[in-house]
Amino acid sequence: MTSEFDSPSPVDDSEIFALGSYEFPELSTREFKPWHKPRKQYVRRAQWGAEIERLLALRPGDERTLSYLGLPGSDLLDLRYILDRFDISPGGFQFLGFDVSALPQSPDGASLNVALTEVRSDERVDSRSDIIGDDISLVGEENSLAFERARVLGPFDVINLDLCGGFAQDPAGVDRSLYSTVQRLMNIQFRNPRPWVFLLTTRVGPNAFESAVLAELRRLIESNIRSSSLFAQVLAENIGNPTEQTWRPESPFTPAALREFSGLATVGLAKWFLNCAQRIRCEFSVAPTLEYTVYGGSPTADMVSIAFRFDPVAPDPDPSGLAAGGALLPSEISQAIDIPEIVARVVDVDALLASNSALAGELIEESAELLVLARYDRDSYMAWARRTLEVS
Amino acid sequence: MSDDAEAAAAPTEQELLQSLDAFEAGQDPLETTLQADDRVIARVTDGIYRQPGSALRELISNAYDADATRVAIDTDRPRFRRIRVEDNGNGMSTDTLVRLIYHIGGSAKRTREGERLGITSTGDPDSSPSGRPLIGKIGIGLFSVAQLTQAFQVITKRRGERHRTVASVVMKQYTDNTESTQHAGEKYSAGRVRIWKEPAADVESQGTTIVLDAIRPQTRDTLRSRGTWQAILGDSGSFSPGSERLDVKPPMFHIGTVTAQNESILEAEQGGPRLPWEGSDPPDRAFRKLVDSVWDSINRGVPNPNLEQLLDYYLRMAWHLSVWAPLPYMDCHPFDVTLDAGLTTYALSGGGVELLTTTSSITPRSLMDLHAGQLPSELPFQVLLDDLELSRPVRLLDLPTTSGAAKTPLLFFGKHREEFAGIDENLSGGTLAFESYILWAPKIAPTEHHGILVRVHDATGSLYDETFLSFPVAEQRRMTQLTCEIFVSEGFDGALNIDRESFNYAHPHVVVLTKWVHAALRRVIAEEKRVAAAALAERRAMGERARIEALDEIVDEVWERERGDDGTAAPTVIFSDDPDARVADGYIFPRRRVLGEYVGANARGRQRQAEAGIGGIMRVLSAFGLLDTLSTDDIAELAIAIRKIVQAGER
Repeated sequence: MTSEFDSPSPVDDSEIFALGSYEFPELSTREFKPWHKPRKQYVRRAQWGAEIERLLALRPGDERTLSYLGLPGSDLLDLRYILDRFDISPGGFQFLGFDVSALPQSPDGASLNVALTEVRSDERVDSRSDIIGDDISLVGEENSLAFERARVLGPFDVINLDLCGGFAQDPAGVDRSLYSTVQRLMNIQFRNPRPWVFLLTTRVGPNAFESAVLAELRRLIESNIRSSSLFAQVLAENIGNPTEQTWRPESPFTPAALREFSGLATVGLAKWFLNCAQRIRCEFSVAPTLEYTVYGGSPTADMVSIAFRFDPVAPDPDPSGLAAGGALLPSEISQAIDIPEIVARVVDVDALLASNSALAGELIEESAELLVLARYDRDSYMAWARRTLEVS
Repeated sequence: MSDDAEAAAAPTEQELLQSLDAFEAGQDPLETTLQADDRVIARVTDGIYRQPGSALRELISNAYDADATRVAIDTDRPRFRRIRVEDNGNGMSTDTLVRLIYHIGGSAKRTREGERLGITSTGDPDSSPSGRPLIGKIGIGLFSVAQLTQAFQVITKRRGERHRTVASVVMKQYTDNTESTQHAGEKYSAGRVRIWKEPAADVESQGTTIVLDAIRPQTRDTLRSRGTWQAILGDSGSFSPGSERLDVKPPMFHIGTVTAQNESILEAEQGGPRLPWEGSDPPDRAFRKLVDSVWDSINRGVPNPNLEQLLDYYLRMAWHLSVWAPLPYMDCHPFDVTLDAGLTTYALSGGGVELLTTTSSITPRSLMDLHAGQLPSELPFQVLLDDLELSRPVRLLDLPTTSGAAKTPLLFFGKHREEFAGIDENLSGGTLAFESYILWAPKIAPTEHHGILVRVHDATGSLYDETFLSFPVAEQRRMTQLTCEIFVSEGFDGALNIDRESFNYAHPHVVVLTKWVHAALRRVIAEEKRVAAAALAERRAMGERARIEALDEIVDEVWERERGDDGTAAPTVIFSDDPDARVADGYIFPRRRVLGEYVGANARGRQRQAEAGIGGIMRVLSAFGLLDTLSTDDIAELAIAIRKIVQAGER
């Protein structure tokens, strides 16, 4: 019982207790998730793995190291995939992951802790590798701990922004956004003297773009259309001739309108990354692109996995001619011209697996191998994976 | 639920083991309570350590005892929301972990039970399976984390097992009230446990990971050096020009701090991290840079560097952990310093000190058959704290010097074995054996290393004792030039208090050690005084010679200018009270009459200086021919007058 003579508490409970209750955090059940589907394994194998293989092949001698920044989820499947597929030297794999399961008392925390113990026990993993609970968009904020960790561990050979939602959904011009995150990551990657790759998986439907951001992507494309008739021609041949209506398709969306929109939006995103590459003096190209359908009601694929290749270019030659060496950075338009065709050649992974049962079987096997490493039951997975293929 | 009810509702140890034997992948975790056989132990678990670093030290010791070759402590500094301690040691079987949960403080280490559980060596309960002498003994090490966190997780696996055992623990706050509800013999519940098994595909992996993920706010504040930052940044916790705050400066090196408003953002105005290493430095180089930064501060206007001023709590903790843990020395073990490395080395033997030869590349280890710190290369031990790979931050070579006369460090080695012959082991505590070095150097940095550190089986939990176990001699300045480590190889364990940070001063082993150390110190100090006195005398002699030569040069110069090349030399001047004294070409002055009496420190040296000075003046006067017309007595009076003027001027 308190009386009027009792002084108020000098501290807040949060200054004394980390936990307010003498209970365990709720545990999340380990169910199979969309990213466990065989099609995701195809993305790992055909795009991520292929890109890493390409980077490692560019290395001089037999150097087998890899630094990686990504969103590996609490199962750390992407990291396990890399360790499983590639011959990396002891201590040669360094990663920084962002996942909410690393937050204190997270329902997936126990699972992440086990996964991290498993992965870090591999002698090829550098001891500074870690998963932190911060949202990756915090990297965009000045003085954030997330940026500081990336700065210290970077630059990276691979940045993998494997999103569930859309890259372009944040408002423009704010610190805490994926654009600011990419911009600040470019500050780190600027120090990278070797070729590296930015992997992006993002929704590309009409609802996945904030309007001001979409307007900017449109401006980037229109600027190329105006400055280069060749670009306009390539775009028209591969994606379409964009009109006001192409950029603002009206619901209900027709498959054709959706395809044209997502193609244009993907070209716009690639153009934005090309501009990033220009700012940090990198040659830029786009690797073969993959797509699949996440939203059940979507008549066309609404998720795209795209790989942007960055290849650092030496400083401009000395105009006075005193110094030898140097290289010219190819112009923006010369690198933009190839983008529409590559985007148009996108492979629909769902369709591919539906038409190629042998491949589907292989991917189920491969995924199962990976999921067993992450402590899932093989048989349950095989049954679930086959079911998902039948449904799709 | 009350403690007894909670403990009673929990499955028994045997029941839990049976359930875990039958545990299937994907099954829900089993629940039980964390139990102590004795409420005193429960109380101990609740918190006996002074600092968060102590609890981390206990986890490092556990890893060492489990034959780990590597421990990595990862934090999200400077936020400290989560700490993970991961080792590659033998790991625990499910049985061992369950035993730990049901018997906090009832460690199987140092018992025959330990051998059955695979946590001690076959046939030697005091050693790890690979033969390391065990550091831990009573089994509270793991639960020392209760002081840091309200909840934690243990993930452990033994090589060859196809599963990991995982336990999540939520600790309970000990209260005195619960004692009254308990009855003798009942177990005390110290927390709740969820335990389960996870299938493991990596059959060959082994080790234990402990994740602290409900770090207590007070612990976070300590790790964040919150008190310092609050004083710097003001109550708002953020820098704003003109706001009221104390005139406190950040330590020379620090990890920075997070803002009060958002713990994911670093305070940038004042608190951006200031570290002596770069992110690209490998961990061993990063730690060396930290240690060098402390020593090098001597050259940056910090004559007596102390960790408290130079480093924030986290960096100090890194330093202390590196002192405590059974790690290799940053350069080399003091016993492996070769005798020709530039130090003067001695053996503490018999009742005195014996100078060891200094031209030999032999080591004291081989010469005196010293064994401490011989880390088997096949079982190294590496401790990583975030960016840093820790090693003992003790420097013996290339030490900074001072303006003092004695500049060469003196390094003394000794060893002792006390068997307490004829005394019942129950009274003596058994044999005590130890080895030691004592270093005297003009500067020892940091000041926290002044004193004596006692290691048992190469590990310690204490800090340097600057009183040298209450050494009764007032040698304040000299004590700050001494650092000493004792390496106990037998005994002393029983003299350590439970926190391993202090000892029981009444224990026979402490009494013997204290007497040995004090006797050794007396010999060390006597030798240092002798060396210092000799060095001082030599320096004075050298100084005198140099000054006299300088005076001679002045006189010769004047003589040559005034007399030209006439083939003569300046006259000789001698001071003597000997009536038979003779000089061929010069003056003899009655010493006592002209110079007066010289007494006290360095009387002879000062007298020689005066003779040179007055003599020099007289010789210059002679060069000008000014003495030629004066009588011997007048010359003496002139010399007396000059001496008085010079002395008055000096005063």
